[in-house]
Amino acid sequence: MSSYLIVRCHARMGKLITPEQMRKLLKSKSLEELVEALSQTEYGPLLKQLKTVEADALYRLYTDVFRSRLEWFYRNAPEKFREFLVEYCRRFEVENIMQVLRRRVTGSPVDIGRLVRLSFLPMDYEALSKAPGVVECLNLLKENPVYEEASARSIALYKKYGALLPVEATLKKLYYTSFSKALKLLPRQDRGLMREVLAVQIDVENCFTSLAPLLYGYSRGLVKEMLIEVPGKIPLENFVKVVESSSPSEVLKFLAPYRGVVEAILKGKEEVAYAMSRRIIRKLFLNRWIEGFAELSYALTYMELFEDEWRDLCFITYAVGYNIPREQAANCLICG
Amino acid sequence: MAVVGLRVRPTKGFLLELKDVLETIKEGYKLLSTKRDELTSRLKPLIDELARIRSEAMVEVEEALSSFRAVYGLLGPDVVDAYAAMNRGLLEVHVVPLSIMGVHTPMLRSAEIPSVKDKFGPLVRSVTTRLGKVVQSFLKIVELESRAEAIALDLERTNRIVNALEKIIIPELEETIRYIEDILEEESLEEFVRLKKIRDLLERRGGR
Repeated sequence: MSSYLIVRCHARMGKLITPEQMRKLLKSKSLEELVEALSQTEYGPLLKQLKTVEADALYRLYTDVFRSRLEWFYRNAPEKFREFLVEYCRRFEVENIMQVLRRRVTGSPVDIGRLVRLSFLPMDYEALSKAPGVVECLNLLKENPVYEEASARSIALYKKYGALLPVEATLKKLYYTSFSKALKLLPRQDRGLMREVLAVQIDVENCFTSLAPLLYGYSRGLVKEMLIEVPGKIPLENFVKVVESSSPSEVLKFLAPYRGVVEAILKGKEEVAYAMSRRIIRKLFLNRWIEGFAELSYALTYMELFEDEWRDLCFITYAVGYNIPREQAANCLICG
Repeated sequence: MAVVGLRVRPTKGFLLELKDVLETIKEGYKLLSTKRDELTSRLKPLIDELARIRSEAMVEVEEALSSFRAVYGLLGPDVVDAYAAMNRGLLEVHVVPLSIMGVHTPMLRSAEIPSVKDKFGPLVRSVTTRLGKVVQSFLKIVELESRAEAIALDLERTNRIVNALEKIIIPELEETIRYIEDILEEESLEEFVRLKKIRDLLERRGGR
């Protein structure tokens, strides 16, 4: 049954914006010029409906397109693959919950219309956004069986540290654990790729986390608790050593497979490190692209590429709108 | 002959009074002159420090803005806004007065600067750390600028007073004193001549 989705993805793949087009878009001198260039793409008809050309309005448009693509992907996926997709897309749900929680700290209003809400990940954001505080919000989240355990742990951590960071880490751990468990739902030939993707995601997350005490003076105890235990490529002990380390040269030894990413973090260029880490994941997909053209990996590659397109377009829009120097902006493009 | 706002009476009592006034004014002039020199010597390094901190802050602002714009573009406005909401309303600054040669200048005491530590995740933490430094630099600039402004205003006022004392009031007072002394000398000479004449007259009458 997956053939249908794979064939549809083949048909849609050609409509994605190519890296060359992306680099051209980045050279736009104004948002009007960017919109003009984008009008030749799939976004053209939607852009015509825009009343004003503003970065935020374009961001909303790209997000809507991304959301509808994800929904389409899910609708056309076979049953077992859908179960995997739910867990793979839980990161968007976790990010939505985090956004609500961050606003609950000071009781700022939440515009739930701006969250990346997906129909196959139902969540009562309305109720969460009306909770008077973080603990109340987490208590509401506890009613959802998926988050029951993580919420209880989050409440304890929030009370212990008085910060949202460990809560964020707990929710991310939930995503990585669910993702890891869901791998068995994939056909064997596609499992290897997604296992690698998961490993890179975990390693990069742990790289960013473990360097926090050295670079930003974060508490070592807290950071150790935030490390994701699900095994990646680098053993957890290495990250623990990085947490305890006080020398930048030493940490490079422990995190050697991600030298480029780590060096960028050490230089304080976390945005570049982030783009680099996403490029590593993109490369994993593209390496399997031709080989797995008739497998689910192809569909997953399409999914990765349209997510990268969404992120790159959002970035390019703000880069053009806010005059980010082209050289700096080019380093932050995921498509390379 | 009169010092501004002073009715001159050519009497000995008034002369003594005027001399006392002149002495006090000269003492005041010396004090104000010292104050002026001291304020000038305090102002100069303050301005140098302000220029240094300002240029450092400009570099910090440039770096923070550049990093912020990139992170804003990568994470999107919703994520960044949600992070910003976490620290809303937490910056609180206390101002205490600091006296420099009697000039009350403000001294900022940062009672509560939102902490970045243990609060923010990847990407945002680098921006918030930079912005935190920018806020600290801005507070320092505000403090130094207002201190320099208060000192400069007082220096201008002191300078005007010192100049007025040096160039107008003291010379006029000295001239008035000289004028009264001349008049008194003339009067005493007159008196002396008058007495001499009276004595001569009395002697002549007694001789008869």
